[in-house]
Amino acid sequence: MSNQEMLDKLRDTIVTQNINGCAEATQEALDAGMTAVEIINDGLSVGMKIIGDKFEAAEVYLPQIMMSAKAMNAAMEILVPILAEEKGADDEGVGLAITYVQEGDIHDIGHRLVTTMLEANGFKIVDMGVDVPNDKISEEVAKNKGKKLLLVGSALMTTSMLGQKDTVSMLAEEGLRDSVKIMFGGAPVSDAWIAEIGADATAENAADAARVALSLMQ
Amino acid sequence: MATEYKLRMGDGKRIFMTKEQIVADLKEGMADAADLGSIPDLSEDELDKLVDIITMPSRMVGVEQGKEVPVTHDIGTIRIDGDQGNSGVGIPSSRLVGAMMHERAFGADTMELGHIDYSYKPAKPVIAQEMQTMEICQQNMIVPMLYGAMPNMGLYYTPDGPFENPGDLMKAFKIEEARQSMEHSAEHLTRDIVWIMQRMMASGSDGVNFDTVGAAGDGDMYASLHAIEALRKQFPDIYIEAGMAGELMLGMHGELEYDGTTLAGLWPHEQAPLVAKAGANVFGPVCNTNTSKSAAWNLGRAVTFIKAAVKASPIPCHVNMGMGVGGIPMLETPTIDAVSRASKAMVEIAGVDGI
Repeated sequence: MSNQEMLDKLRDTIVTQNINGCAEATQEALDAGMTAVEIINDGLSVGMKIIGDKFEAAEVYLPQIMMSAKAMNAAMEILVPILAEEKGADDEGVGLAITYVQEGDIHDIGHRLVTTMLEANGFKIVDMGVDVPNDKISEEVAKNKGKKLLLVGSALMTTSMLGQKDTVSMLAEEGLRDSVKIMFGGAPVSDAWIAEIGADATAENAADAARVALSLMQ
Repeated sequence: MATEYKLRMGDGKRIFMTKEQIVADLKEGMADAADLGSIPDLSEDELDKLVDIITMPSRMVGVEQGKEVPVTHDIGTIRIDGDQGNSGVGIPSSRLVGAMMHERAFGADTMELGHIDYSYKPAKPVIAQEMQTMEICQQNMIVPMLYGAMPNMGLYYTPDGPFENPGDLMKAFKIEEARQSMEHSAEHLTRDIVWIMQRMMASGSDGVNFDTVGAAGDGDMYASLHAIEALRKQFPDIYIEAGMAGELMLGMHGELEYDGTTLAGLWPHEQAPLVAKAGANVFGPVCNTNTSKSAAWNLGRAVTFIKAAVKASPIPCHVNMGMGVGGIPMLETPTIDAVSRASKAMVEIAGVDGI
Protein backbone atom coordinates (compact mmCIF):
# COMPACT_ATOMS: atom_id res chain seq x y z
CA MET A 1 0.00 0.00 0.00
CA SER A 2 1.40 3.43 -0.91
CA ASN A 3 1.70 6.20 1.67
CA GLN A 4 -1.18 8.07 0.04
CA GLU A 5 -3.37 4.98 0.20
CA MET A 6 -2.53 4.63 3.88
CA LEU A 7 -3.40 8.29 4.51
CA ASP A 8 -6.68 7.84 2.64
CA LYS A 9 -7.45 4.82 4.78
CA LEU A 10 -6.76 6.83 7.95
CA ARG A 11 -9.03 9.59 6.67
CA ASP A 12 -11.80 7.15 5.86
CA THR A 13 -11.72 5.46 9.27
CA ILE A 14 -12.45 8.86 10.82
CA VAL A 15 -15.22 9.69 8.36
CA THR A 16 -16.89 6.28 8.82
CA GLN A 17 -16.41 6.35 12.61
CA ASN A 18 -14.42 3.10 12.50
CA ILE A 19 -12.79 3.20 15.94
CA ASN A 20 -10.91 -0.12 15.84
CA GLY A 21 -10.02 0.38 12.19
CA CYS A 22 -8.55 3.80 12.94
CA ALA A 23 -6.19 2.39 15.60
CA GLU A 24 -5.18 -0.45 13.26
CA ALA A 25 -4.59 1.90 10.33
CA THR A 26 -2.49 4.15 12.57
CA GLN A 27 -0.29 1.23 13.63
CA GLU A 28 0.03 0.11 9.98
CA ALA A 29 1.14 3.60 8.96
CA LEU A 30 3.72 3.74 11.76
CA ASP A 31 5.01 0.29 10.82
CA ALA A 32 5.39 1.50 7.23
CA GLY A 33 7.68 4.29 8.41
CA MET A 34 5.36 7.28 8.47
CA THR A 35 5.84 9.84 11.24
CA ALA A 36 3.20 10.62 13.83
CA VAL A 37 2.98 14.20 12.53
CA GLU A 38 2.32 12.98 8.96
CA ILE A 39 -0.35 10.59 10.19
CA ILE A 40 -2.13 13.33 12.13
CA ASN A 41 -1.80 16.19 9.66
CA ASP A 42 -2.26 14.36 6.36
CA GLY A 43 -4.61 11.54 7.37
CA LEU A 44 -6.58 11.91 10.60
CA SER A 45 -7.05 15.69 10.47
CA VAL A 46 -8.27 15.49 6.89
CA GLY A 47 -10.94 13.06 8.07
CA MET A 48 -11.93 15.35 10.95
CA LYS A 49 -12.19 18.26 8.51
CA ILE A 50 -14.57 16.22 6.33
CA ILE A 51 -16.70 15.16 9.31
CA GLY A 52 -16.75 18.76 10.57
CA ASP A 53 -17.96 19.99 7.20
CA LYS A 54 -20.64 17.29 7.13
CA PHE A 55 -21.75 18.32 10.62
CA GLU A 56 -22.01 21.93 9.49
CA ALA A 57 -24.06 20.86 6.48
CA ALA A 58 -26.38 18.80 8.76
CA GLU A 59 -25.36 15.60 6.98
CA VAL A 60 -24.09 13.96 10.17
CA TYR A 61 -25.13 14.66 13.75
CA LEU A 62 -23.88 14.66 17.31
CA PRO A 63 -23.56 10.88 17.76
CA GLN A 64 -21.59 10.51 14.53
CA ILE A 65 -19.17 13.33 15.33
CA MET A 66 -18.65 11.87 18.79
CA MET A 67 -17.79 8.50 17.24
CA SER A 68 -15.36 10.16 14.84
CA ALA A 69 -13.74 11.91 17.79
CA LYS A 70 -13.48 8.58 19.55
CA ALA A 71 -11.78 7.06 16.48
CA MET A 72 -9.34 9.98 16.52
CA ASN A 73 -8.78 9.39 20.25
CA ALA A 74 -7.98 5.74 19.60
CA ALA A 75 -5.29 6.83 17.14
CA MET A 76 -3.93 9.50 19.47
CA GLU A 77 -3.48 6.95 22.27
CA ILE A 78 -0.92 5.29 20.01
CA LEU A 79 0.54 8.51 18.64
CA VAL A 80 0.97 10.71 21.72
CA PRO A 81 3.90 8.73 23.22
CA ILE A 82 5.54 8.62 19.78
CA LEU A 83 5.04 12.36 19.30
CA ALA A 84 6.77 12.93 22.64
CA GLU A 85 9.68 10.77 21.47
CA GLU A 86 9.86 12.56 18.12
CA LYS A 87 9.85 15.97 19.76
CA GLY A 88 11.89 15.20 22.89
CA ALA A 89 10.80 14.58 26.48
CA ASP A 90 10.52 18.25 27.46
CA ASP A 91 8.23 19.20 24.60
CA GLU A 92 4.80 20.30 25.83
CA GLY A 93 2.99 19.07 22.75
CA VAL A 94 0.48 21.45 21.24
CA GLY A 95 -0.40 22.87 24.65
CA LEU A 96 -2.56 22.69 27.73
CA ALA A 97 -6.24 23.54 27.26
CA ILE A 98 -8.30 24.68 30.25
CA THR A 99 -11.92 24.09 29.30
CA TYR A 100 -15.05 25.14 31.19
CA VAL A 101 -18.63 26.40 30.99
CA GLN A 102 -19.16 29.95 32.24
CA GLU A 103 -20.66 30.68 35.66
CA GLY A 104 -24.46 30.53 35.63
CA ASP A 105 -24.56 28.07 32.74
CA ILE A 106 -24.76 24.29 32.89
CA HIS A 107 -25.21 23.54 29.17
CA ASP A 108 -22.26 21.32 28.48
CA ILE A 109 -22.78 19.30 25.31
CA GLY A 110 -20.75 21.74 23.22
CA HIS A 111 -18.16 22.03 25.98
CA ARG A 112 -17.76 18.24 26.15
CA LEU A 113 -17.52 17.93 22.41
CA VAL A 114 -14.89 20.65 22.08
CA THR A 115 -12.91 19.19 24.99
CA THR A 116 -12.93 15.80 23.29
CA MET A 117 -11.87 17.29 19.99
CA LEU A 118 -9.01 19.23 21.58
CA GLU A 119 -7.80 16.13 23.39
CA ALA A 120 -8.00 14.17 20.16
CA ASN A 121 -5.86 16.83 18.53
CA GLY A 122 -3.06 16.50 21.06
CA PHE A 123 -3.95 19.02 23.78
CA LYS A 124 -3.49 18.13 27.42
CA ILE A 125 -6.81 18.97 29.12
CA VAL A 126 -7.89 20.51 32.40
CA ASP A 127 -11.69 20.20 32.31
CA MET A 128 -13.15 22.49 34.97
CA GLY A 129 -16.73 21.44 34.23
CA VAL A 130 -19.81 23.66 34.29
CA ASP A 131 -20.89 26.82 36.17
CA VAL A 132 -17.28 27.88 36.80
CA PRO A 133 -16.73 31.29 38.46
CA ASN A 134 -14.11 33.63 37.05
CA ASP A 135 -11.88 33.55 40.15
CA LYS A 136 -11.47 29.77 39.76
CA ILE A 137 -10.52 30.26 36.10
CA SER A 138 -7.99 32.89 37.05
CA GLU A 139 -6.49 30.58 39.71
CA GLU A 140 -6.11 27.77 37.17
CA VAL A 141 -4.44 30.06 34.64
CA ALA A 142 -2.07 31.38 37.33
CA LYS A 143 -1.21 27.82 38.37
CA ASN A 144 -0.19 26.96 34.81
CA LYS A 145 1.48 30.27 33.92
CA GLY A 146 4.53 29.73 31.72
CA LYS A 147 3.06 26.74 29.85
CA LYS A 148 1.65 26.85 26.32
CA LEU A 149 -1.80 27.69 27.59
CA LEU A 150 -5.21 27.88 25.92
CA LEU A 151 -8.38 28.90 27.75
CA VAL A 152 -11.55 27.56 26.16
CA GLY A 153 -14.81 28.86 27.62
CA SER A 154 -18.34 27.99 26.59
CA ALA A 155 -21.68 29.74 27.18
CA LEU A 156 -24.99 28.77 25.64
CA MET A 157 -26.95 31.75 26.90
CA THR A 158 -26.50 35.46 26.23
CA THR A 159 -26.65 36.08 29.99
CA SER A 160 -23.76 33.73 30.76
CA MET A 161 -21.86 34.91 27.67
CA LEU A 162 -21.56 38.34 29.29
CA GLY A 163 -19.35 36.74 31.97
CA GLN A 164 -16.73 36.07 29.30
CA LYS A 165 -15.97 39.79 29.21
CA ASP A 166 -15.29 39.70 32.95
CA THR A 167 -13.02 36.68 32.47
CA VAL A 168 -10.81 38.62 30.05
CA SER A 169 -10.83 41.71 32.30
CA MET A 170 -9.94 39.69 35.39
CA LEU A 171 -7.03 37.97 33.65
CA ALA A 172 -5.79 41.37 32.45
CA GLU A 173 -6.08 42.91 35.94
CA GLU A 174 -4.12 40.04 37.42
CA GLY A 175 -1.39 40.30 34.81
CA LEU A 176 -2.23 36.94 33.27
CA ARG A 177 -3.73 37.98 29.93
CA ASP A 178 -0.46 37.61 28.01
CA SER A 179 0.11 34.14 29.47
CA VAL A 180 -2.83 32.56 27.75
CA LYS A 181 -4.67 32.41 24.44
CA ILE A 182 -8.42 32.71 24.89
CA MET A 183 -11.15 31.05 22.83
CA PHE A 184 -14.85 31.39 23.58
CA GLY A 185 -17.70 29.44 22.04
CA GLY A 186 -21.44 28.86 22.35
CA ALA A 187 -24.56 29.77 20.43
CA PRO A 188 -24.57 33.55 21.12
CA VAL A 189 -20.80 34.07 20.68
CA SER A 190 -19.81 35.92 17.50
CA ASP A 191 -16.63 37.31 15.97
CA ALA A 192 -17.82 40.80 16.89
CA TRP A 193 -18.19 39.75 20.55
CA ILE A 194 -14.70 38.22 20.56
CA ALA A 195 -13.28 41.47 19.19
CA GLU A 196 -15.27 43.58 21.64
CA ILE A 197 -14.04 41.77 24.76
CA GLY A 198 -10.46 41.27 23.60
CA ALA A 199 -10.43 37.47 23.37
CA ASP A 200 -8.47 35.69 20.64
CA ALA A 201 -10.89 33.53 18.69
CA THR A 202 -14.16 31.64 18.37
CA ALA A 203 -15.20 28.77 16.11
CA GLU A 204 -18.30 27.58 14.29
CA ASN A 205 -18.34 24.06 15.74
CA ALA A 206 -16.24 21.49 17.61
CA ALA A 207 -14.21 20.40 14.60
CA ASP A 208 -13.54 24.01 13.67
CA ALA A 209 -12.61 24.71 17.31
CA ALA A 210 -9.82 22.15 17.10
CA ARG A 211 -8.47 23.73 13.91
CA VAL A 212 -8.65 27.25 15.36
CA ALA A 213 -7.03 26.10 18.62
CA LEU A 214 -4.12 24.51 16.79
CA SER A 215 -3.54 27.63 14.71
CA LEU A 216 -3.68 29.85 17.83
CA MET A 217 -0.98 27.81 19.49
CA GLN A 218 1.44 27.98 16.57
CA MET B 1 -27.16 61.96 3.32
CA ALA B 2 -29.32 58.94 2.55
CA THR B 3 -32.58 58.46 4.44
CA GLU B 4 -32.23 56.06 7.34
CA TYR B 5 -35.00 53.80 8.64
CA LYS B 6 -35.58 52.57 12.16
CA LEU B 7 -35.08 48.83 12.52
CA ARG B 8 -34.10 46.35 15.21
CA MET B 9 -31.26 43.96 15.67
CA GLY B 10 -32.19 40.33 16.43
CA ASP B 11 -31.68 41.13 20.11
CA GLY B 12 -34.10 44.04 19.93
CA LYS B 13 -31.56 46.89 19.90
CA ARG B 14 -32.69 49.94 17.90
CA ILE B 15 -30.62 50.49 14.74
CA PHE B 16 -30.81 52.77 11.71
CA MET B 17 -30.21 51.51 8.17
CA THR B 18 -30.36 52.97 4.69
CA LYS B 19 -32.55 51.36 2.05
CA GLU B 20 -29.45 49.96 0.35
CA GLN B 21 -28.30 48.38 3.61
CA ILE B 22 -31.76 46.92 4.19
CA VAL B 23 -31.84 45.39 0.70
CA ALA B 24 -28.35 43.95 1.17
CA ASP B 25 -29.30 42.37 4.51
CA LEU B 26 -32.58 41.02 3.13
CA LYS B 27 -30.73 39.37 0.28
CA GLU B 28 -28.06 37.97 2.56
CA GLY B 29 -30.64 36.48 4.94
CA MET B 30 -32.61 35.06 2.02
CA ALA B 31 -29.47 33.52 0.54
CA ASP B 32 -28.62 31.90 3.86
CA ALA B 33 -32.04 30.19 4.00
CA ALA B 34 -31.91 29.20 0.33
CA ASP B 35 -28.44 27.71 0.80
CA LEU B 36 -29.20 25.82 4.01
CA GLY B 37 -32.57 24.48 2.91
CA SER B 38 -31.82 24.09 -0.81
CA ILE B 39 -34.96 26.13 -1.44
CA PRO B 40 -35.73 28.90 -3.94
CA ASP B 41 -34.86 32.55 -3.42
CA LEU B 42 -37.65 35.09 -3.09
CA SER B 43 -38.56 36.91 -6.29
CA GLU B 44 -37.57 40.54 -6.92
CA ASP B 45 -41.21 41.56 -6.39
CA GLU B 46 -41.27 39.79 -3.05
CA LEU B 47 -38.03 41.45 -1.99
CA ASP B 48 -39.46 44.85 -2.99
CA LYS B 49 -42.55 44.12 -0.93
CA LEU B 50 -40.37 43.20 2.06
CA VAL B 51 -38.50 46.49 1.71
CA ASP B 52 -41.84 48.32 1.62
CA ILE B 53 -43.03 46.61 4.78
CA ILE B 54 -39.79 47.27 6.66
CA THR B 55 -39.63 50.93 5.65
CA MET B 56 -43.28 51.80 6.31
CA PRO B 57 -43.33 54.94 8.46
CA SER B 58 -46.02 53.72 10.87
CA ARG B 59 -44.83 52.29 14.17
CA MET B 60 -47.27 49.41 13.75
CA VAL B 61 -48.46 47.88 10.48
CA GLY B 62 -51.20 45.41 9.55
CA VAL B 63 -52.22 43.12 6.73
CA GLU B 64 -54.24 44.47 3.85
CA GLN B 65 -58.00 44.23 4.23
CA GLY B 66 -59.24 40.82 3.16
CA LYS B 67 -55.95 39.16 4.00
CA GLU B 68 -56.68 38.61 7.70
CA VAL B 69 -55.74 35.16 9.02
CA PRO B 70 -56.74 33.15 12.10
CA VAL B 71 -54.61 33.62 15.19
CA THR B 72 -53.93 30.62 17.38
CA HIS B 73 -52.59 31.08 20.88
CA ASP B 74 -50.23 28.73 22.67
CA ILE B 75 -48.61 28.57 26.14
CA GLY B 76 -52.09 28.29 27.69
CA THR B 77 -52.87 31.24 29.95
CA ILE B 78 -49.34 31.55 31.32
CA ARG B 79 -49.02 34.87 29.49
CA ILE B 80 -51.56 36.25 31.95
CA ASP B 81 -51.05 34.44 35.26
CA GLY B 82 -47.41 33.40 34.99
CA ASP B 83 -45.06 35.44 37.12
CA GLN B 84 -41.96 33.31 37.49
CA GLY B 85 -39.95 34.38 34.50
CA ASN B 86 -42.13 32.25 32.24
CA SER B 87 -43.41 34.90 29.84
CA GLY B 88 -46.28 35.92 32.12
CA VAL B 89 -47.36 39.32 33.40
CA GLY B 90 -48.41 38.01 36.79
CA ILE B 91 -52.07 39.03 36.81
CA PRO B 92 -53.85 36.84 39.37
CA SER B 93 -56.57 35.00 37.48
CA SER B 94 -57.94 31.51 37.08
CA ARG B 95 -57.18 29.65 33.89
CA LEU B 96 -60.80 30.02 32.86
CA VAL B 97 -60.56 33.80 33.21
CA GLY B 98 -57.25 33.80 31.32
CA ALA B 99 -58.69 31.69 28.50
CA MET B 100 -61.77 33.89 28.25
CA MET B 101 -59.60 37.01 28.13
CA HIS B 102 -57.81 35.55 25.10
CA GLU B 103 -61.13 34.69 23.46
CA ARG B 104 -63.12 37.82 24.24
CA ALA B 105 -60.55 40.57 24.71
CA PHE B 106 -57.53 39.57 22.63
CA GLY B 107 -59.31 38.01 19.67
CA ALA B 108 -57.72 34.56 19.70
CA ASP B 109 -59.43 32.34 17.14
CA THR B 110 -58.50 29.18 19.03
CA MET B 111 -57.31 28.88 22.59
CA GLU B 112 -55.74 26.15 24.62
CA LEU B 113 -55.65 25.00 28.20
CA GLY B 114 -52.11 24.52 29.47
CA HIS B 115 -50.63 23.52 32.81
CA ILE B 116 -48.18 25.85 34.54
CA ASP B 117 -45.33 23.35 33.84
CA TYR B 118 -46.50 23.26 30.20
CA SER B 119 -45.19 19.78 29.43
CA TYR B 120 -47.23 16.61 29.01
CA LYS B 121 -45.38 14.55 31.61
CA PRO B 122 -46.09 16.78 34.64
CA ALA B 123 -49.77 16.97 33.63
CA LYS B 124 -50.18 13.27 34.45
CA PRO B 125 -50.38 13.57 38.25
CA VAL B 126 -52.86 16.46 38.00
CA ILE B 127 -54.96 15.01 35.21
CA ALA B 128 -58.19 15.18 37.24
CA GLN B 129 -57.72 18.92 37.72
CA GLU B 130 -56.90 19.36 34.02
CA MET B 131 -60.04 17.46 33.05
CA GLN B 132 -62.25 19.51 35.34
CA THR B 133 -60.77 22.80 34.13
CA MET B 134 -61.25 21.74 30.51
CA GLU B 135 -64.91 20.99 31.18
CA ILE B 136 -65.45 24.37 32.80
CA CYS B 137 -63.68 26.17 29.93
CA GLN B 138 -65.76 24.31 27.36
CA GLN B 139 -68.94 25.31 29.20
CA ASN B 140 -68.01 28.99 29.10
CA MET B 141 -66.23 29.47 25.79
CA ILE B 142 -67.07 29.53 22.09
CA VAL B 143 -63.76 29.31 20.21
CA PRO B 144 -62.19 25.86 19.78
CA MET B 145 -60.46 24.99 23.06
CA LEU B 146 -57.49 22.65 22.76
CA TYR B 147 -55.23 21.09 25.33
CA GLY B 148 -51.64 22.20 24.82
CA ALA B 149 -48.22 21.31 26.17
CA MET B 150 -44.65 20.65 25.12
CA PRO B 151 -43.66 17.04 24.37
CA ASN B 152 -40.37 17.94 26.13
CA MET B 153 -38.66 14.56 25.99
CA GLY B 154 -35.81 15.87 28.14
CA LEU B 155 -38.06 15.25 31.15
CA TYR B 156 -37.65 11.51 30.59
CA TYR B 157 -33.87 11.63 31.13
CA THR B 158 -32.04 11.65 34.46
CA PRO B 159 -32.24 13.56 36.77
CA ASP B 160 -35.85 14.37 35.78
CA GLY B 161 -36.88 10.96 34.48
CA PRO B 162 -36.14 7.25 34.49
CA PHE B 163 -33.79 6.94 31.51
CA GLU B 164 -30.08 7.63 31.63
CA ASN B 165 -29.22 11.01 30.18
CA PRO B 166 -27.97 10.60 26.58
CA GLY B 167 -25.67 13.60 27.09
CA ASP B 168 -23.87 11.76 29.89
CA LEU B 169 -23.79 8.54 27.88
CA MET B 170 -22.37 10.27 24.82
CA LYS B 171 -19.70 11.90 26.91
CA ALA B 172 -18.62 8.39 27.86
CA PHE B 173 -18.83 7.45 24.15
CA LYS B 174 -21.70 5.06 24.90
CA ILE B 175 -23.43 6.07 21.69
CA GLU B 176 -25.57 2.95 21.29
CA GLU B 177 -26.75 3.18 24.89
CA ALA B 178 -27.53 6.89 24.37
CA ARG B 179 -29.63 6.02 21.34
CA GLN B 180 -31.47 3.28 23.23
CA SER B 181 -32.21 5.74 26.03
CA MET B 182 -33.76 8.12 23.49
CA GLU B 183 -35.79 5.33 21.91
CA HIS B 184 -37.16 4.20 25.29
CA SER B 185 -37.95 7.78 26.25
CA ALA B 186 -39.77 8.30 22.97
CA GLU B 187 -41.98 5.27 23.62
CA HIS B 188 -42.94 6.61 27.03
CA LEU B 189 -43.53 10.11 25.72
CA THR B 190 -45.87 8.84 23.00
CA ARG B 191 -47.74 6.74 25.54
CA ASP B 192 -48.08 9.65 27.99
CA ILE B 193 -49.36 12.12 25.37
CA VAL B 194 -51.98 9.64 24.19
CA TRP B 195 -53.01 8.84 27.79
CA ILE B 196 -53.43 12.51 28.64
CA MET B 197 -55.36 13.32 25.48
CA GLN B 198 -57.71 10.35 25.95
CA ARG B 199 -58.76 12.00 29.21
CA MET B 200 -58.87 15.52 27.85
CA MET B 201 -61.02 14.39 24.93
CA ALA B 202 -63.35 12.70 27.44
CA SER B 203 -63.62 16.15 29.06
CA GLY B 204 -64.75 17.84 25.89
CA SER B 205 -61.45 19.11 24.45
CA ASP B 206 -61.67 20.15 20.80
CA GLY B 207 -58.14 19.00 20.12
CA VAL B 208 -54.50 19.11 21.02
CA ASN B 209 -51.56 21.42 20.49
CA PHE B 210 -48.09 19.91 20.31
CA ASP B 211 -45.99 22.93 21.22
CA THR B 212 -42.25 22.91 20.42
CA VAL B 213 -42.02 19.51 18.74
CA GLY B 214 -38.40 18.38 18.52
CA ALA B 215 -37.12 20.51 21.43
CA ALA B 216 -35.12 17.49 22.61
CA GLY B 217 -34.05 16.55 19.09
CA ASP B 218 -35.18 13.94 16.59
CA GLY B 219 -36.38 11.54 19.34
CA ASP B 220 -38.82 14.20 20.51
CA MET B 221 -40.20 14.57 16.97
CA TYR B 222 -40.33 10.78 16.53
CA ALA B 223 -42.42 10.42 19.70
CA SER B 224 -44.68 13.33 18.74
CA LEU B 225 -45.38 12.01 15.24
CA HIS B 226 -46.30 8.62 16.65
CA ALA B 227 -48.57 10.27 19.22
CA ILE B 228 -50.27 12.29 16.45
CA GLU B 229 -50.75 9.10 14.45
CA ALA B 230 -52.25 7.25 17.44
CA LEU B 231 -54.56 10.13 18.34
CA ARG B 232 -55.82 10.50 14.76
CA LYS B 233 -56.62 6.78 14.74
CA GLN B 234 -58.47 6.90 18.07
CA PHE B 235 -60.22 10.22 17.51
CA PRO B 236 -60.86 10.72 13.78
CA ASP B 237 -62.32 14.22 14.33
CA ILE B 238 -59.70 15.55 16.75
CA TYR B 239 -58.09 18.87 15.75
CA ILE B 240 -54.31 18.43 15.94
CA GLU B 241 -51.90 21.33 15.78
CA ALA B 242 -48.15 20.57 15.70
CA GLY B 243 -45.74 23.45 16.09
CA MET B 244 -42.01 22.98 15.93
CA ALA B 245 -39.32 23.97 18.42
CA GLY B 246 -36.78 25.17 15.88
CA GLU B 247 -36.06 25.45 12.18
CA LEU B 248 -33.70 22.46 12.01
CA MET B 249 -34.46 19.05 13.50
CA LEU B 250 -31.43 18.35 15.63
CA GLY B 251 -29.96 14.89 15.24
CA MET B 252 -29.43 13.91 18.86
CA HIS B 253 -30.07 10.29 17.80
CA GLY B 254 -29.29 10.76 14.14
CA GLU B 255 -30.92 7.65 12.70
CA LEU B 256 -34.59 7.77 13.71
CA GLU B 257 -37.00 7.64 10.80
CA TYR B 258 -40.68 8.30 10.24
CA ASP B 259 -42.36 6.91 7.14
CA GLY B 260 -38.92 6.10 5.71
CA THR B 261 -37.54 9.62 6.21
CA THR B 262 -34.65 10.32 8.55
CA LEU B 263 -35.82 13.00 10.97
CA ALA B 264 -32.43 14.51 11.79
CA GLY B 265 -31.55 17.48 9.65
CA LEU B 266 -35.05 18.26 8.36
CA TRP B 267 -35.86 21.89 7.55
CA PRO B 268 -39.42 23.32 7.82
CA HIS B 269 -40.40 22.45 4.24
CA GLU B 270 -39.28 18.86 4.86
CA GLN B 271 -40.98 18.61 8.26
CA ALA B 272 -44.42 19.72 6.98
CA PRO B 273 -45.24 16.65 4.83
CA LEU B 274 -44.32 14.29 7.68
CA VAL B 275 -46.48 16.14 10.18
CA ALA B 276 -49.35 15.98 7.70
CA LYS B 277 -48.71 12.31 7.02
CA ALA B 278 -48.91 11.57 10.76
CA GLY B 279 -52.38 13.12 10.81
CA ALA B 280 -52.08 16.70 12.03
CA ASN B 281 -54.53 19.38 10.85
CA VAL B 282 -52.18 22.32 11.19
CA PHE B 283 -48.38 22.64 10.99
CA GLY B 284 -46.47 25.35 12.86
CA PRO B 285 -43.17 26.03 11.06
CA VAL B 286 -40.38 27.85 12.87
CA CYS B 287 -37.46 29.97 11.73
CA ASN B 288 -35.05 31.03 14.47
CA THR B 289 -33.84 34.60 14.91
CA ASN B 290 -30.12 35.38 14.85
CA THR B 291 -29.61 37.96 17.60
CA SER B 292 -26.43 39.28 15.96
CA LYS B 293 -28.14 40.14 12.66
CA SER B 294 -30.58 42.88 11.72
CA ALA B 295 -34.35 42.50 11.46
CA ALA B 296 -33.95 42.76 7.68
CA TRP B 297 -31.52 39.82 7.58
CA ASN B 298 -33.74 37.77 9.88
CA LEU B 299 -36.95 38.58 8.04
CA GLY B 300 -35.44 37.83 4.63
CA ARG B 301 -34.30 34.49 5.96
CA ALA B 302 -37.52 33.65 7.83
CA VAL B 303 -39.86 34.51 4.96
CA THR B 304 -37.75 32.42 2.56
CA PHE B 305 -37.88 29.39 4.86
CA ILE B 306 -41.57 29.70 5.73
CA LYS B 307 -42.67 30.36 2.13
CA ALA B 308 -41.04 27.06 1.13
CA ALA B 309 -42.76 25.29 4.04
CA VAL B 310 -46.16 26.68 3.05
CA LYS B 311 -45.62 25.51 -0.51
CA ALA B 312 -44.59 22.00 0.56
CA SER B 313 -47.26 21.56 3.22
CA PRO B 314 -50.43 19.62 2.38
CA ILE B 315 -52.07 21.11 5.51
CA PRO B 316 -52.49 24.75 6.63
CA CYS B 317 -49.39 26.40 8.10
CA HIS B 318 -49.73 28.59 11.18
CA VAL B 319 -46.25 30.07 11.51
CA ASN B 320 -44.73 30.46 14.96
CA MET B 321 -44.38 34.18 15.64
CA GLY B 322 -42.94 35.31 18.94
CA MET B 323 -39.76 36.07 20.79
CA GLY B 324 -36.84 34.77 18.80
CA VAL B 325 -38.79 33.15 15.97
CA GLY B 326 -40.35 34.24 12.67
CA GLY B 327 -37.94 37.13 12.13
CA ILE B 328 -38.97 38.68 15.48
CA PRO B 329 -36.26 39.88 17.89
CA MET B 330 -35.36 37.83 20.93
CA LEU B 331 -37.17 39.79 23.62
CA GLU B 332 -39.51 38.57 26.34
CA THR B 333 -42.10 41.08 25.11
CA PRO B 334 -41.14 41.70 21.48
CA THR B 335 -41.66 45.20 20.15
CA ILE B 336 -44.81 45.87 18.13
CA ASP B 337 -42.91 47.49 15.25
CA ALA B 338 -40.99 44.26 14.64
CA VAL B 339 -43.86 41.87 15.42
CA SER B 340 -46.38 43.59 13.15
CA ARG B 341 -43.91 43.90 10.25
CA ALA B 342 -42.82 40.27 10.49
CA SER B 343 -46.43 39.11 10.74
CA LYS B 344 -47.52 41.15 7.70
CA ALA B 345 -44.60 39.72 5.72
CA MET B 346 -45.47 36.17 6.70
CA VAL B 347 -49.10 36.58 5.60
CA GLU B 348 -48.60 38.62 2.43
CA ILE B 349 -45.34 37.13 1.14
CA ALA B 350 -44.82 33.69 2.72
CA GLY B 351 -48.56 33.00 2.36
CA VAL B 352 -49.16 31.47 5.77
CA ASP B 353 -52.69 30.36 6.63
CA GLY B 354 -52.51 31.58 10.21
CA ILE B 355 -50.27 32.70 13.03
